Amino acid sequence: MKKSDVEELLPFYVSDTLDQHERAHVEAELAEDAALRSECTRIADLARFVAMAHEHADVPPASVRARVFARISGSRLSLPQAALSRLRPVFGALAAVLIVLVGYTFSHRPNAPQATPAEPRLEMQVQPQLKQSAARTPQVANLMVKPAAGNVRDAQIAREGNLILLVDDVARALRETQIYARTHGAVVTSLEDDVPPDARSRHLGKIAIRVPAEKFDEAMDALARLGALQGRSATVEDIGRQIVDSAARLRNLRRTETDLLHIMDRSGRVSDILEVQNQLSTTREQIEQLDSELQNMRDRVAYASVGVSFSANATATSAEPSMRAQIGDAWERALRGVRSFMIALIAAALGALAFLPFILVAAGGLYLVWRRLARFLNSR
Amino acid sequence: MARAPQDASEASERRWLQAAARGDRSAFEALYERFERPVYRYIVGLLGNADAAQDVLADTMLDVWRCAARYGGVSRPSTWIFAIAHHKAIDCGRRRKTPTLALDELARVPDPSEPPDDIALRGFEAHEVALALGELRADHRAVIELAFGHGYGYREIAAIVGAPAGTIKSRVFHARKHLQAILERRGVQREVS
Repeated sequence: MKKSDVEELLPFYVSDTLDQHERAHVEAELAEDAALRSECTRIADLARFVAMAHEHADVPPASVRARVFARISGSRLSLPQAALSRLRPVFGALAAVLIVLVGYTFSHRPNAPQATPAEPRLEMQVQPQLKQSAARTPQVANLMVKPAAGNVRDAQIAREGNLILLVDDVARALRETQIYARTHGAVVTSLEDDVPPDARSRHLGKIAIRVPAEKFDEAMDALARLGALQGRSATVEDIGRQIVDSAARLRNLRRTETDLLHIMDRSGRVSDILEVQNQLSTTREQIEQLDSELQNMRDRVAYASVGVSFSANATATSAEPSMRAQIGDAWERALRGVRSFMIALIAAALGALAFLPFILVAAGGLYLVWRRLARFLNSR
Repeated sequence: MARAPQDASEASERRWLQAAARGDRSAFEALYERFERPVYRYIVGLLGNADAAQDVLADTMLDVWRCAARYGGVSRPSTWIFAIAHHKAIDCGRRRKTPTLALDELARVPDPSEPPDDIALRGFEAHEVALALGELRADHRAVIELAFGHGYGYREIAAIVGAPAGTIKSRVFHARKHLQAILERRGVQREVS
């Protein structure tokens, strides 16, 4: 190592940031060269002066912090672009696979039964005793689920359940549900009694109650006994993370509010005060909104929702359906047919799109073969 | 002398940065507490203007929050954050063209007629050093601040500034020669020379 190289390393020797090898070289040179030792002392003094200037430097005012945290509280963190760009090939591959799968599924199963709307959000298992009736009535098959036993009680769980029951007397079933709610600390949140206009229509009723979360399973079982069970669903959602996140955001916003109040106390100019007041107003609005959301989430955890749909066992007379009912059925069948046709059309288009590269390659190959063949024939 | 973060605190910083990338505001608060002052001091040293430095600090910390997921973990978190601050300060300096010392800083110059106790003397010398640093070119000021003010090695400075390590070594060499000359001219030379 040349002397000039050692000189360049001296500041970093002083700040003790050299690796062992470099340090050994510098120390060897220092041991032999008095001028270098003197230079080293000068650098150490200089470093001390710069560090001293740092100790006397200002600290940033609290308003900077308030500004940063106000901006952060007002915005939701979006997935960073770098992460997105890193995941882009994965998304592309997934999209391609999805398109092929969707195309394949729809083009090979055009008459498959349509999916039902309610999908369980946590791990569910189908009740064995209900499998048979589920097979008979595919439109309620996906509803007939029950939460898997596990440690979900330890988390912040929001529960919702639905029952579909056939009963002899809908009005009586509704009354009994209300009585159950009153006697078990639950609250009726909605009630619909669809009394049939004529003897041929079916009597329908719906009731929704909110029960204390710990009585959810008991309520579902008790209400299921009011009639013949046609469908049963339960969804559970762990909203603990959302609650913690909202609580943290609320804490930050309250801190920001306090900071803004301090800033306002210190601000001199009217324009500054107005600006801070404006920010304060926005922050308070966010606090109120978040507070309300948090309360709502906690309510969802404390009280589970149970909805029960009652349907009368049979109409008063089981005569031939009315003309209006027949026309309604025909219209619904036609709509279903159009829907299936549209889905099949879209599936075929997606399938074609997915296979487009292969089609293009094949077409290109055929074109090349055709050109060579044409040349060969012309030459003869 | 302020030193570069050691291993223990570096692990915490990495953890905070990863949590901030997932949207954890309390982790970001911890990160903010840790870097608020050193980053601000670096920016003030670079720009020589407290108002502009406050804006750059806010921009830097907001970028840290927004782009925490881009931190690849190759360099130290402090190096990554200082690199953001450095580039923002350089951009700001280009826009402002002429770095100036803030009036409030000038107002804090101790009165030479006061009794020369050690504290006042140190304050006076610190102020003189700050002024001397202000006379340096921006790229020289940056490497001096990072090497002596924050205790970074030349490889880390190279990562922060975005220049080859060899360039940084020679830049620090010339910058300190220049700074020593300025300090001697200003009379802060008793101990430096």
